[in-house]
Amino acid sequence: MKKPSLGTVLWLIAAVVWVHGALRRFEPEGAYLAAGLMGLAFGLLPLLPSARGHGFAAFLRALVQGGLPLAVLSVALLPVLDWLQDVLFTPSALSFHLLAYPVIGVVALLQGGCAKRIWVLIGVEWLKLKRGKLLKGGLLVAILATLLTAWSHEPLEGESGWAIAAHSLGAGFWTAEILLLVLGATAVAGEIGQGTMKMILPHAYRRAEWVAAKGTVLVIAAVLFGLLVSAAGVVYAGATQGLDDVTKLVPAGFGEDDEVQVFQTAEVMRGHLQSTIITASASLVASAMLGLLISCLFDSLVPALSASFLLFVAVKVGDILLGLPRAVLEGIYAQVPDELRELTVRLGRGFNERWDSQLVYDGWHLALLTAVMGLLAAMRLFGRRDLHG
Amino acid sequence: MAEPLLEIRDLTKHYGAVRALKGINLQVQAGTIYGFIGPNGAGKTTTIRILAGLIRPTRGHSYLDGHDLATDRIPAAEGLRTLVEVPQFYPGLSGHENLSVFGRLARAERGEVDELLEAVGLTEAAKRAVGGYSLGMRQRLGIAQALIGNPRLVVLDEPMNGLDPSAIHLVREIIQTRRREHGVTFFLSSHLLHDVESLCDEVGIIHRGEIVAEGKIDELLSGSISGFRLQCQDSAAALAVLEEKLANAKPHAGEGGHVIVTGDESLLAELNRVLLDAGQPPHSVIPIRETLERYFIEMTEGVMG
Repeated sequence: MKKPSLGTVLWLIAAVVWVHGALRRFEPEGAYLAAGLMGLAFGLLPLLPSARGHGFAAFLRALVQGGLPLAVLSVALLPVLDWLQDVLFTPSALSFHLLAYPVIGVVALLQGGCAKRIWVLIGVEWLKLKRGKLLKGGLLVAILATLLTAWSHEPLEGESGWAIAAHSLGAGFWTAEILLLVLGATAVAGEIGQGTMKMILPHAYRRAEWVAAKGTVLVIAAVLFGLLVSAAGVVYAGATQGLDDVTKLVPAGFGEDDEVQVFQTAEVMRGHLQSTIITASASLVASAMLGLLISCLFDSLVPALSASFLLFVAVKVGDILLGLPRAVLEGIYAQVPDELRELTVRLGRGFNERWDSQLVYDGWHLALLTAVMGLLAAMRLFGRRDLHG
Repeated sequence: MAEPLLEIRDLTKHYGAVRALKGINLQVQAGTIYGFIGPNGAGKTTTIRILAGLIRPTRGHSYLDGHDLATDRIPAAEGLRTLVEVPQFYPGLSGHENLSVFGRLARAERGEVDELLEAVGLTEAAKRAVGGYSLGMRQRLGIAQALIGNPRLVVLDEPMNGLDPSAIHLVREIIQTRRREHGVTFFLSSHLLHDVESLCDEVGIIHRGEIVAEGKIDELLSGSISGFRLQCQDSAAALAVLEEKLANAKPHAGEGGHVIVTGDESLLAELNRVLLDAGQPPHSVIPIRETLERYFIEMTEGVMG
């Protein structure tokens, strides 16, 4: 029986860090179960081909020698991660996990010496995306959606430019999310279907490096979408209504003048806007990575796009689509879909209602963990499948 | 014998119940042109796809310069270029941009893209989007991408597909020049057996997932004499004698006053004896060898795609 490679162990650690980030706070016992199952899969799957056809004893041997040690390692890693988070880092799990991934990534790079190769691939992928119609067309559509929403919004009495910004950003980011899902879904499946994947894969690069490069370029695209949509909404709102203090006119009492009450200063509102844009951009990155993950599962564009849209709909309106009771959904999702939708709406609608900074934190956390999980799973899956397209 | 540049050992690929490759073994020496031929569905493209890293073998290994192409891919693939089936490119990019993409991947020198475009006769079309290229132009661009970055081994799957006769001649010239001047080794599959026969030093014939014949073309065909062409002082008299004494050899008159007989090397001694006894010693006896096509059909039981 061969021992697991350093690469496999690094992948496993990355997966357990993700389990820690995604489940530990919500499902402490579930995290142990998930980590154990992941370890079992990582240890057992590579040994199955050689055990196949040699009877149940060979399968048991593979389980004992490959699956169980890694399952134990994974489960044992969770308290170590707890300790690292408590002792070495601030109580913020977000910063801990954000730091953990680059550390694992750097170790992986040092192991394979692949930084230079990934850099070359990023250049190639960026050239392809830049010259294609999808990015330019998508950016144009997202900006138009933002501006049209801003233009068609009829402000209520006393509503400030912030409301226009919030409405238009909501529409712009929603459009961008779909477009990035499409960009992600076409990244690999599109190339397989088009036949160009068979031309580029034989070159001296690992498949995981290709996926990492595609993921990096999608992150750049997501940031571009975020910046341009934000710029369009904010500039329009600022130019038409102004982005000043949020105020309310309090009618005067007998013998008094009307009073203008400041709800929020423009400075505080700008801070909220900044947080919202960053969080929404993180969710764009997550959408692109989920698209990339789906893309790695299919050999042609149509099923990849269909699966992406199903996922999009399931995440956005899972409660309606699945028709499941709330208790069940709470067991499946870290946050139930309608809460997710509410979170997005509240973040998008604005900030002149009740501002909840915890939403920003949760949004960040969820989006980045989803993005990392999507990218890691895509790298792993694409590296192991046959390509017939 | 020197270590082979490409070595395939016990390469096996199963698709569920279908056994596409049944443990094939072959060796390709550096600097040679190796023809890989077989009927449709014999396992040629599966083999090439495994070499290209597109699919994983069920069992077995392929080594390039001693590096396993599956487990030690980076150093192995550094010197490998492939062209699998019909080449496809990014339709929105020009021919030059497409080739530049592959040039970057292969870390080719700057001038190499223009040089290769000229070599395959695409300089004038270099700035046009590949979406508007004909099949033949795409095929030539595919050949160019397979040569970029000075590879050691070039694997070409049906490289003459879709090419007109002048383009076929051009590709043949390019392959021979690259082999002669740069020492590039070629591994090519083709249905055009005449091209394989004229281009390749060695061939491997694959049939139903197994290598049924392998070796230098001359050696393979040398054991395949199908008859003899004789020239005698009096051809008519010699033909009459042979018709009487060696009717089994189906003697008949050929072009230029030759007499043709059918049979292998074992016929030669008797042929000489009969003609000498009849006072018609042959001036020349030229063996008629099988063509690669006939040999191929024989080896693949007449199943030709």
